[in-house]
Amino acid sequence: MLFNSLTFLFLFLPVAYLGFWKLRTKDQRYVWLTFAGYVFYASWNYKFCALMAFSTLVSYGAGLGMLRWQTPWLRKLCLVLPISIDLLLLGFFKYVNFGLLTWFDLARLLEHPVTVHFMDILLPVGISFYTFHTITYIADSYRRVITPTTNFFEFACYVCFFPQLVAGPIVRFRQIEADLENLGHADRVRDLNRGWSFFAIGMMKKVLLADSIGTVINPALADYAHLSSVNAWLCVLGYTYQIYFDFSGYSDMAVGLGTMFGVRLPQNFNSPYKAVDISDFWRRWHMSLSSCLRDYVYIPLGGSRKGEWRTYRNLMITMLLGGLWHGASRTFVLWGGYHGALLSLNRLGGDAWQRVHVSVRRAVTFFAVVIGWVFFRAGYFHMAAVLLRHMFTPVAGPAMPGVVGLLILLAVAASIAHLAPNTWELGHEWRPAWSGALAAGYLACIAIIAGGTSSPFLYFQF
Amino acid sequence: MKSRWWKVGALLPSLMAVLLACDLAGRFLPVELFAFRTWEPALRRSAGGPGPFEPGAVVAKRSAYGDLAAMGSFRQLRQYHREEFRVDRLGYRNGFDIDKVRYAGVADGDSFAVAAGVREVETLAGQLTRLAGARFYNAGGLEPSDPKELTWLAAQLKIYSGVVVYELLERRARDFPPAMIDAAPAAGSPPPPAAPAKGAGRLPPWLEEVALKLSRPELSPLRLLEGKLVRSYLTDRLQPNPDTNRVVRETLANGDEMLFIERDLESVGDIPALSSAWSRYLAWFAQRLQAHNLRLVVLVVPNKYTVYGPLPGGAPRRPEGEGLLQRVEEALRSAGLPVVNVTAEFQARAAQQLARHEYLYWRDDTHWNASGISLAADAAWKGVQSMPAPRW
Repeated sequence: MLFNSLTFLFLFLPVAYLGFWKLRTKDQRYVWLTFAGYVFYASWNYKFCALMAFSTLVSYGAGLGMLRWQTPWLRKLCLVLPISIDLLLLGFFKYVNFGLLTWFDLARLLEHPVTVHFMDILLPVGISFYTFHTITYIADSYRRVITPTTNFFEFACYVCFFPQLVAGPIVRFRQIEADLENLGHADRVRDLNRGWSFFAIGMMKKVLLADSIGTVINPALADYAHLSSVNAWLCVLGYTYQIYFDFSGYSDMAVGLGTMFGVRLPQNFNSPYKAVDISDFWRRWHMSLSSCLRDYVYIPLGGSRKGEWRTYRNLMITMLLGGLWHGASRTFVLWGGYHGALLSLNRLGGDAWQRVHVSVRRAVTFFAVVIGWVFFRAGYFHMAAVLLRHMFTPVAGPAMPGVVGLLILLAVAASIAHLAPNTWELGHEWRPAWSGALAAGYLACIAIIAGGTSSPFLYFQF
Repeated sequence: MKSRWWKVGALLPSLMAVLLACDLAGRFLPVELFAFRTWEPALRRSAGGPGPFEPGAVVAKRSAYGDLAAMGSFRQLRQYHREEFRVDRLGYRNGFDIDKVRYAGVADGDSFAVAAGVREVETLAGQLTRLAGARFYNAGGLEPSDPKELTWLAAQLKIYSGVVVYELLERRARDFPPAMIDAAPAAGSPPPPAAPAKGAGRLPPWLEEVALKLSRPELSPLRLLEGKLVRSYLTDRLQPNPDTNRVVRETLANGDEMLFIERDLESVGDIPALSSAWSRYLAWFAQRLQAHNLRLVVLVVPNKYTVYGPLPGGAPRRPEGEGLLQRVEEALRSAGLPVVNVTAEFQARAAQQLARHEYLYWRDDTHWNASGISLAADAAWKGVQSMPAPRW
């Protein structure tokens, strides 16, 4: 069940919303939200509900353990054991076949071929996200950043809160703890306009911009070997905006839904294509993931405290893991490595870079990000290599179907991404004319969804 | 918060509620309002009976047009025409009272037998009726019937002896025939099951109808209107049309443009294997019908591309389908089955008519038109007449 599906909009959301506000106490609302989260999750594959429930129970138990035991080794056990279980589950479902393939290829490279039996594993949707939720909860409990909750349903509701369950933002317990505690006294009408406004804007970003761009570039990229240079650039630029509006649209919808249920989810995008350097980009793009990588990988590795070379190493490891988090594919690892190299380069020439004019810094950063998306989109090295070759060596060819529409969409998308304020910078108290425009755009989205032409969110695969 | 109607917190949920109400209410409007031809609105929406169409449905469109023009968004190539579609109580395209007629036989087949864009008298069954002077029942569906369905139909229609003209379209002949399921066909055995609606029989009929309309997303007017709207800008300029590659646009030697379905241009598979499989299947089919005094005549019909493929300007082409149909015809003949292959006749007539801008198939549709059906019916009727008298 996608946010941009009729079942969600006309059945799940009204029932979940009315049921939630009908209940009065926070405990009732925790139970209701947990129930709603599991129903939402079961709509993909009910069998994986057990996996999420198991992960929830283990992490909740670890939190209780840390509350009860103060002995360091017992606390450490409560840290290591559940995180290992979570990572094992994530590793099994997401990375086993990738590991086998890598082993197979390495053995072949070393001329010791092996026989590998790949496993028929179905990736549970959103496992990367809820695993991060539970891991950050355990780590923060261990560091005493938060006090673990004793209320099972409060914790379960945090893990499976449906607006952020399958594609983030990656919410840390401490970010919504106050709202969860206050759930019994949440005010239904206070943030209603803001919630709906976020939701509608997110929906329009996704359905009107990202999906429309995807309709043009996806068939062209499917035949990437025959793309002309112009078409290759158009496709890569198209993907650059498609992924931004797709994912930031999803995040806006999640934030809007959270607001409707009295929970303020954190910002996940802050106009990333306005970034002036690559580290600025990572402070603005998928902020919940990049801050997690910073706090739970980069800093524990030593961050920038142990000399220049260790810093570069730490940056590289963090970004390679970040790439791998996105999916079990070598192109994601390459994308992570590419960004790790850019971050290192940025650190190396930081002072000189600051003296360059801001518009040049923005343009160069954007260009570097666009090239990175080639690896992210490619799926395999050959495709990335062909796309890059076609982008940088002249290849003639006919215009791709839908090019006029794509140019219009790119112009609109670029204006919004580079010039307009982002959703968080808007006031969300609209005058009647703007409300009407928002309603018209939202209705257009529903009409497109009703026609069955909307598509899943790109980040669901991660 | 001030409760003002334009506040998005009030406006958007209210609009959604209105939209939902309109959509649900719209499901009770006639579906033909939103369709571009009569076929889809006439398709079965309820359980019961063997036919593919909604029993008793009457659908009329004043400006229907072809499926290929719709699929490829070729607005300028649409051939508008009036279309009427009446369905009998068994769910087949017959507009007369099927219980008060004596039948000479049955015309069985796929959408070519049902016919698109022609009046009922111009369908294969209608033309055979004209030639025979006695009724032919139109048993065309999405797929041709199997022997059990046909013998059941014959019993229902009280056809104790007669002819079954089996329309075998090239597109079907390119695939292997269905499995020969040999359940003993008894004339009085129940009709082949149609998928029962959920809860069928447990609710009063009107409530079942309401439940059905509300539970079928394909009846949503919102969905249908959106489909039409999206098609209007899927022109390959603003947005690529995902179906464009499924439709091929050719200019004929006389300058007229014609649309073809792409898969008709594809290579044919293993011709000897296909022809012998069809000959085995239809021999089995004929045997099952013979047990009920029904004689099978196979009418082999070429795809539009096999007829008009050789005619576009430029180098002449010889579509592979022609060879397949010839081999199927030979295989059926050697199996002792009466067979009429109209491919050569269609090709010759199409070439003659080209200068006059007359055609045997719709230019914007995959199907044959009244002229093509008439030619095929004449040939089929000659085939029926040349058959030896039945021994029963």
